[in-house]
Order: sequence, then C-alpha cells, then structure tokens
Amino acid sequence: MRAVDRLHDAHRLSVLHDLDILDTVAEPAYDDLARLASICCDSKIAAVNFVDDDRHWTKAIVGVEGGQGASLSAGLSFCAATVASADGQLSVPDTQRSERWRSHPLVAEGPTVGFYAGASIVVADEPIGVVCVFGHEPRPVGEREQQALRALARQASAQLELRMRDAHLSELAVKDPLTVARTAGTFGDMRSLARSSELLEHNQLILDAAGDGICGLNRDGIVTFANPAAAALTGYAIDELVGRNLHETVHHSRADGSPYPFEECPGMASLRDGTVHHVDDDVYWSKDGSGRPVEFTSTPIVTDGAVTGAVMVFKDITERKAAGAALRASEHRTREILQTAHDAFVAMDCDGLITDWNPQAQASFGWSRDEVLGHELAETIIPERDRAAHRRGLARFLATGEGSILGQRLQLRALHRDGHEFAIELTISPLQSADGWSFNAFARDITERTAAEQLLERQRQQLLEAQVVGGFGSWEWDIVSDTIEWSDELCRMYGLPLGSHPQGSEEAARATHPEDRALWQASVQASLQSGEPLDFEFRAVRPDGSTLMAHSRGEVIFDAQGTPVRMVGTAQDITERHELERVKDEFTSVVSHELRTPLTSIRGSLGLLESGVLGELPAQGQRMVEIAVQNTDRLVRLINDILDIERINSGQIDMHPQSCDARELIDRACDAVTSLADAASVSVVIEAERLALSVDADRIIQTLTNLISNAVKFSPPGSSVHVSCSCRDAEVLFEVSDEGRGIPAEKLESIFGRFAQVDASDSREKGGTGLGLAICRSIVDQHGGRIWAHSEPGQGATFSFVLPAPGTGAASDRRSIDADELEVVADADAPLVWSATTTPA
Amino acid sequence: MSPKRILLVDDEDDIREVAAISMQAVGGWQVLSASSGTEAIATALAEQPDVILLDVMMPDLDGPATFKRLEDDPRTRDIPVILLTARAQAADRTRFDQLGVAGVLSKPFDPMSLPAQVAALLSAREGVGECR
Repeated sequence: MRAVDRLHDAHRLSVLHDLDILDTVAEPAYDDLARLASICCDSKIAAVNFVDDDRHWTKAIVGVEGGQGASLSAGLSFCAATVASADGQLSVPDTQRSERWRSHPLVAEGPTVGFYAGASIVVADEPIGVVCVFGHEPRPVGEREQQALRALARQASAQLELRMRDAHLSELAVKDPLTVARTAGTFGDMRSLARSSELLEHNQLILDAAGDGICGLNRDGIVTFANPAAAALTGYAIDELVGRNLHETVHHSRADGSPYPFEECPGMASLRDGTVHHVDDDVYWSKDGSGRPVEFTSTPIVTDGAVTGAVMVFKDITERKAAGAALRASEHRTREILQTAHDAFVAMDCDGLITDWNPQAQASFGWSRDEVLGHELAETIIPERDRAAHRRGLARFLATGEGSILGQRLQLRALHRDGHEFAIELTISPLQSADGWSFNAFARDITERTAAEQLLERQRQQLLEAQVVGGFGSWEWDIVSDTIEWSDELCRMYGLPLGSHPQGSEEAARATHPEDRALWQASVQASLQSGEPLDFEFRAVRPDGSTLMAHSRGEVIFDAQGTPVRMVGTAQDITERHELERVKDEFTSVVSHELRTPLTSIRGSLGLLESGVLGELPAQGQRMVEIAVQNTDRLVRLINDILDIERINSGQIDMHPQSCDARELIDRACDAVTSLADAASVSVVIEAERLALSVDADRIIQTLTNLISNAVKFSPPGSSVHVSCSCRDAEVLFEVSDEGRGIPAEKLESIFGRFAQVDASDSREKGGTGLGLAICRSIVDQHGGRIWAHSEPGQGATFSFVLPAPGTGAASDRRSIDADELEVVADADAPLVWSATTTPA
Repeated sequence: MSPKRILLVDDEDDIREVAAISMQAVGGWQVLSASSGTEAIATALAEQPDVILLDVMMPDLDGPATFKRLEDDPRTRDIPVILLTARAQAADRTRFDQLGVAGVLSKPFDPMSLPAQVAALLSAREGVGECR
C-alpha cells in the first residue's frame, strides 16, 4: 500500500510538476548523466527517467535509439517501482530468478529485461525520477555500481534543484525585480560558486566510483585529469599521469611490441576528427612494463565547434579475454568430441532445420554434412510415416514447452539415405538461447545390438523350451549375497508358483528331502572347496508333500583371488528314470534267477554225465556232453557279466574300499588263472611292489583276473604274461602284458565297449562274453581311476590301469611303503619283491 | 559210521534231483528233500538232518524266512544251513552271510564239487565253533 501511496503522493507529484521537466526536449546535462551511468556501470543501456503517477517518461537514454521522450505505463515501469520503494533504489540482477519480477510482462514476454538497477532522483525530499541501467541478459549489480547510480541520481537532483531555484528567481524577478537584482548582486557569485562546488563534488564522486579508467585529455593528448581506476590500471599515480601524453605513456607500443605512432592511434584520432572512437581489444602498457588487454573509447570535447580535448575511458578486459579464450577452447573441445563421437550428433533449430551434423551422423545416415545443413531434419532422417508426429511434437513444444520425448532415451526408426530403415537409440536435449530454441540429438545405430538382443531373447526362449522338453531347470547361486535364481522350469519341477523359488541357500536346503539334506550340503561344500563340478542325486520335496528325484549338476565360478563367488547349474527331474532303473534292476534280478534255475539243472545234469559217475558214455557222447558243459559255463559267465556291468554302471554295487596291498591283489588274481595258464602252457610272471591301496579288493581282483585271463587266452603256448604294479605320481599303476597277436590301433579304445571283441570269432573261440573289459572299465571308473590298452600289432598288448593312492588328490597323503619300512627278500615269482615290515595304512 | 544226511530244499524238482544225485553219487551222502520252506521245517523237525541246503527264492516261505524259523526253534537251531542262490552277487552274498548261515553257494553249481563245497563249509563252521 505504501508503494502505491508514494507513487500517487500529492506532494511528490506537485514537486515533479513544479519542475516542468516532463515532456521537455533533450538536454546535454541529462544525456551526460545517462552516458556516465552507462560507463560507470558498464551497461549498454542507461537512462534518466521521471516518474509521474501513471507513467515514467524518459528524459535521457543511451543504448536505445529514439528512446528519449518515450513513456511507459507506471504499471510496467521498474523505475516507478524504484521511486515507490522505501529506500529509493532497486537492484534486480536476474529478473528470471526473482519471485517478484519473473512474471512481469517485460520479463516474461519481451523485449526482455534481464537485469535492472536504479537509484531515485530526490528533490525536496520527494523521489521524482530515476537514474537507471538495464539490459537483456542477467548480470550481477555490485555495490560499486549502485554507489555510482546513487551519486549520479544526486547529480540529477542537484541539476533539478538549480532548475527549481532558477524558476523561483524568474518568478520573483517578475514579481520583485529590485530584490532579485540586489540578491543577484550580493549573492549571485556566491550562489554560482556554491553550485559549481557542488557539481564538482558530485563529479569527483562519480569519477572515484567508476571501475573504468577515465582520463581527460587536452587537444595534444596530455592528461588533464585521471581517476583512481586509471591510475590502478596503468600503474601510474594520478599525479604521474596528469601532464603526460597518454598515448606515449601507456599506448606507445602495439600488442606485438612494435612502436605505435601517436598519429595512428585511434584513441587520439578523436582529437583530430572530433568523433567518438572505440577499440575493442588493445594493449595498454603499465608502468612496470607489463601489457594489459584493454577496451577503450575516446570521446571528443567540443567547445564552440572546436575540439578542445577528449575523454578517454578504458577498461581491463583480461578476464573477458580469458573467458573468451576458455569459451573458444571449450567450443573447440566440444567440436572435437562431436567429430570423434561414436554417436551421431544432429542439431536442429526451431524451424526443424539441421544446423549441425558430425561425421558419425554421416556414417549412420549416409548424408554428408554439406548435403544436410539447412535441410529439414524430418525429410532427411525420419521415415515418412513418422514425420507428421515429429512435426506435431515440435510445434507443441514450441507453443507449450511440453515435450514428452525430450531428455529421454528413446528407441526409434530412422531413415538412411539409401531408403532403408534402421533402429536407433536417441536422446534429444532442447536448448534456449537469444536466437530461440534449438535441439541437440545424439543417435546411435542399434541395429546390431537389437539383432543381438533379439537373438539373445530367442536363445533364452529356446533354452526355456529346451528345459521344458528336457525336463530340467537351471539355477544360479550368488554366493556373496546368498541369493538364488531359478528358471521357470525348475519352479514347475518343484511344484512352486513361478518366481516363488527359494531365495537363499538355507531356504533351498529346506526344499530338499530331510534325509538327503546332509548329502546336499556336503556335495555343495565339497564343490566349493575343491572347485570340482557339482554332480549328485537327491530327493526334493514339493509343497504338496510329494517327492521327486533330482539330479543336480553345477559349476563353481571363482573371482580373480580364487574365492568362489557363484555357482550355476541345472537340476533334472529323474524321478521317472529312477523308477525305470528300479524296475529294470528288479527285472534283471528276476531274469537272472529265472535263467539260472534251468541252467542249474542243465549244468548239474551235464556235470554228472560228464563225470562218469552215472556210467560211462560212448566217446562221441562223452565229447558232446563236454561241449554242452563248456557252453553252459559260458552262458553262466555271460549272465553273470551282464548282471555285473548293469549293477556297477547303475551304481547299485557299492565299492567297499579297504586297505590292501597291490601285490597281494595280483597274487590272488594269478592264483585264479593258474589252471587256465597251465592249460595254455603260458607262464605268468609277477613284477610287483608292495603298495598300500584303499580299494574294493574283490572288484580289483576281478579286474586283474579278467585282464590276466584275457592275456593268457591270447598268448601263444610257451610265452609269458607279465603282471606288474608300481607307484606313479599319486597313483598306483597296474600293467598286464602278453606276447600275443596284439590289438589294432583303431580297436584299442573300442574293446572297452560292451560285447566288443578284437575279432568277432574271439568269443566263440576263447569263450569270452565280450563284457569283461567293459566290466573292468566300470570297476576302475568307480574307483576314480583310468584304464587303457597299448599295443603294437604282432608285438603283444599291454593293459594298464591306475588307481588313486590312499588320500586321493594329495600326493603327500599317498601311503606307499617307504624304503626304510621294507626289506628286500628273495621271491621266486618276481625279480624283486618288497616285503613290508610294517603294515601299510 | 552211517553216512551224513543232508536235507535238500528247492521248489524246482529238477534241481533237487540233480543235487540229490550229486550228493549221493559223488559225496556219498544220504539225501532228504523238501519242495517248500514249510515242508523243510517239518522234515528238519522230524529227521534232524546234519545239514540243510536251502534255496533262497521259493514261493510263500523263502530261504531266509525258513532259516529264521529254523533258528527260532530250539529243536532245529543247531542244524547248519547252507543257502543256495541264483542271486550270486556280492551284495546278496554279504546280506545272506549276515543272516548267520553256515555258508552261501551259487547256482548253477558244479555237481562234481558240490559235496566237497558243502563239506568245506561245515568244516569251517566247526572250526569256528571249536575256536569258540
């Protein structure tokens, strides 16, 4: 309310109107004030305005052509607000950020006022006008500038008070000429003196407050006055400057150090041609010899049509130049970045025309920069069916400021020069400047990425489908955070709603059958510690209480330090398979029994006949019975072997490791084939160390017996079969060598298959079942060992197998019998035999 | 000295017959026979044989069950029992051994060595008994 009151205050308006200043012609004194305000505040626009109750009226203005004499409604006037303010001044550095001024028409609509600073001109204690500066761009308004504005406002006040007194005197002269004449005679000089003194004082204040250097020059360019800023900027004291030729003192050399003749100096040209000269970028030389970048303006002083001197105003532009250089460097960097960016960069103005286009844009869209600059973006890179939407979006943004896609990462179709469309990822940023809106866009060709993503998605789908078809699910355990992910199929397998799988290892353990939980945890722990793949079968319990048999396999993933960080794997529902195996086993058992039962009668009957216990048979009859006995025995072996291999492979026969001596195993195996060897006239030579082993003795004897009897069968009469065992790293190596016909290289591996023979007639002639080696391999595998054959055709064959020494995996734990535990004893069967004095572990 | 008596128990007539000839003709044993577990128990009670060769897989009362009943009865408890089985796998043998029988023999058997095998098992059992 007070602000309105002050603006419309009757006394204030009476003082203003008494001055008769409104709607008068331009006067140099006020023009000078405006100019000084412009200089002191470094503002292009400065004005002296008087504020009536409904308008402000411009008495003087610089920076706006034809502005003098103009009016502006008081409602819109910053100056009216200045006058109405309590302290008579107003400073708004950034109108956009000012709560009060943001919505002001001159701020929101334009011509925009970015900053404003003004100080009231006070006459008879009433604020009747303002000295102000303003501009389009926001900028700080310092205390020094406000001080200058106040000083200039006081200068204007003094001018106006003089004007008022003159008006009074004129009035009095009309009314009382005698008194006026006397007063003039008595006080005239004093009044004039006081006024001059007051003006000088104001001028001095202005000069002192100015940040720019100001020097008055006589017609020879000699400094007649200088302000403190001029002294500070040149390094000379004011007293030193006054009396010197300014050009010769501070402007004697050009920026490159070459001499700068007085006659060529544009600043001094004002003295010759009587016009204002301005130089944007030059160097003034300080007293200490250093150069200082400056901008200067020289204004001639013209008296009675003749140039009598000039005012030189100069300012330090070091910061401006540095800022300019920084800006140029920044622009250069930006340009470099855009030129080398992997992304296409496209800039567009508010008319939708392309204003920038980097090399990657050329690579992506096929058009060169020169071809597209100034062309409509929509027509260039947007597919025809999307152009209308693009144009609507641009128009809406320009009208409302709303742009839903701006600042977002978008995936769109783009058009290549050759007409094909491709996928891009795009980010658009709007930018507002004095020239209006513009838009910068970074675009990336994501054709390959999209294709890769689609492939990945297809593969993911295939994997999921494969899991459904294969009846297995996958899982991943982040060990560090103890979080678990299950595939959908795994959830289905467990009868869980999708996504409701166990989240951590404890929860996963609870989904395991209580009796298998310990096995589950031990298997996982063993894998984590050894790094060996996880591979075990267990029962899991579904929420409805039903049980499934699962086979889980997994791999441990370690970080660079060797710490396990993740496990990934699969789990397969083997319930059905398990049941089938059980049925098969049952079947095998029954079949075995059913076959053996008649065979028992046959074998028994034939045996009794063959023995002659029931009476002598004719020679041919005897031979027939012998053949029947041999083939019955062969059939029995076959049945035994089939049962063996099935049971070993299905893990139904547990291996029962026990401490034993490798040499003893060989001896027992050799004993079993003695009669066979004797019959074949083949000698068996044992070359074996006593070595501690932890194996299922019966099974290893079975293996050795098989290998030795094979060797005997395939040895020519009179030859030898060599059986040996020795230590090899952390393993015990068994070898059985014969001097028979050997095995072709291509059959060295296949002979370990079921019903595999080197020669199809072997099973007939040698009485083998074709399963012996397969059983050997199964037994050795079950012990964690390896078996293989080596042969040179015609040079015999060697069958070898290794078994882990006790304390598998750690050579230091291997328990062989050390030399100090042994004594050498003679043994007829072997070249060298070690006999243990202590019992191996 | 009268010959020792063996009770052969098998549901297969042919096997009983072959085993009987083997034990009599080769081993000189006196042979009793039964075709079921129930019949075997009755015969054992009545005849008190020196040893029983008992088939494992028989309908109704199988070998192990028959053995259990014989063992539970103080009148037959001391008669040695040898199981005869077509399930000749190691695991089966171990399971049968643990029942406390005198021994386990596999089918098919060699009729010429069957009497000797039976005798060997009995000797071994007696040896263990003497040690006790």
